[in-house]
Amino acid sequence: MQNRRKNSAYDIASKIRNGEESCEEHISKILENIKQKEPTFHAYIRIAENTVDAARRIDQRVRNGEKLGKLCGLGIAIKDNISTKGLQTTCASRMLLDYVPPYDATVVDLIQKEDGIILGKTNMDEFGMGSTTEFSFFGPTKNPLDPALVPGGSSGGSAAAVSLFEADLALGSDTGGSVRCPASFCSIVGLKPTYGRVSRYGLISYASSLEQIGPLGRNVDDCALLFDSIECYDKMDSTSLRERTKDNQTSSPSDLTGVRIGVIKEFMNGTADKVSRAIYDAISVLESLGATSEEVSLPSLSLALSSYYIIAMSEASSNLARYDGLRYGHESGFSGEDWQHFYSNNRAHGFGDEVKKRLIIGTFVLIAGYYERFYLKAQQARSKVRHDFNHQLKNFDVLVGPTMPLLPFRQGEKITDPLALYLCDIDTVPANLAGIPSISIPVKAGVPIGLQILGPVLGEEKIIHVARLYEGATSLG
Amino acid sequence: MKKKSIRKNSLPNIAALADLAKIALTQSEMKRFQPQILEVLEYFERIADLDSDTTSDNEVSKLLQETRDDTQFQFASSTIMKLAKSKKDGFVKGPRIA
Repeated sequence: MQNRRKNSAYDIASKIRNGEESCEEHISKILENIKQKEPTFHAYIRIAENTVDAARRIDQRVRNGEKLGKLCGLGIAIKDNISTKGLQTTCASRMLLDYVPPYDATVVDLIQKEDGIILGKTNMDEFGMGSTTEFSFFGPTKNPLDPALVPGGSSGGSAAAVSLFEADLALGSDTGGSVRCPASFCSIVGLKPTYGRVSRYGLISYASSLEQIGPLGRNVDDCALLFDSIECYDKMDSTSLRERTKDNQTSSPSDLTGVRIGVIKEFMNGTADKVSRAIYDAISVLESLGATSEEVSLPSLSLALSSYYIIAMSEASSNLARYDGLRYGHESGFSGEDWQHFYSNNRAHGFGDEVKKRLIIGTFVLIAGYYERFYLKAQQARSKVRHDFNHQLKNFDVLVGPTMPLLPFRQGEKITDPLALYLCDIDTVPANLAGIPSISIPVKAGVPIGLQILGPVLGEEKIIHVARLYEGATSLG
Repeated sequence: MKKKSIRKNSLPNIAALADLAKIALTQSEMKRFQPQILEVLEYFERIADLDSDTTSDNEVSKLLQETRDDTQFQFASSTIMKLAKSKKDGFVKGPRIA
């Protein structure tokens, strides 16, 4: 195991646990930071109450000599589509403005069991539908590296909070890159776990067959620390995997000798020159650590983006059908002549433009006559993508490429061009279609370019190991 | 079978689609959304080029049939009823429909 970096979440938790640092002071410092930076960056939708009291209780338990958990006294931000008991959870939508969940998501429960402190709920694209965090009912989040730029999305609030030291760690959700994209644009680390590795119980559904909750941290060890705390089998999630691998914090070889890396050709094609150069430089670093690399082609990736959006929008049209303003969600006050008018007006008033468009397209691709042409073909393409990854991950230990094909762009630049925005996800959606784990790490500290490392199902340990050694070699964190 | 082009008459009326999705769009929204939706659907059409003969039917049907036993968990009705905006005699009260 490498030496833990000073002021990393791992380091802070150790100090609080050993009584070297006061949890109350640590949390108060974060809250002060939030107060100063939020007017500019808007990473949070809501700050939790009583966090300082929770910190005092941690300090008291330390003084009592109690054994404390992995996340001892750390301030953790939660994306606003993850249920928190008694704390409003809106999915950044007017539709759920008043929704206070009656239960905690399994991941929130696990964080609290490991003595982490929930700081608040972070901003996001409405219901996770976006790649910029501009589609929020509460207004956009700004990029911590330059507030004129987008932070990526849809977990842009979580990434910004971590980058700005407004949280030690954060949770996002990744349906088609929503953890890795903002991690890349904000120059931090984000992990999308294997489908089924982290419980989705309490995650408000957008596209159930694609999404996973994932951690964000300022370095690989921090990200792995939160991942280790939240991954477990959960009987409350029908897709939870029973299989587990070993602790990601355990020791690993100190170089990459014998590690075979496949560089995904389709990810490199069409990538901005600056991003492409940075990724090839990163691959050279991995080679200097003992790895070998080779270009590899996955032909099915040409259909991945269409397949992903057809499946995601289809599932969204079903998942979001529950928001009718009667059983769930915003009621516009319109009664009307029949139920159809009542529901339709509530939904028109409660949802933002991007959600409306995706629900309409999702409805269209499922109707008779178009189902075979779109949805069934999308599922067949998904099967091919999964097959290609499984095949190549037998030849290579990990696959790499850029997380995003471009640098973060200006706020508002693509907001009126949905297809241009969807195309930004071209390198992140394949991992969701295949259900495999993928991590994004900055190629260099402070640079908004992510190196994406993909591994086989349950291969988190492998990709975290490669990421950790890369980070050590480039002196990140 | 001859492929239909999305742009040539095969996209149902946007108002009818919105009606199916239960979203009451304004005229201005319809005007704004229509070209954007068409552009996205045209992009999606590339998936029609997929040679599905090479994909095993078993793989597809497996994808479509991944289910397992569901686990039931019940909340106290008082907890759930707290979330309802309007209620009467232990029931959620809906609006009056003409």
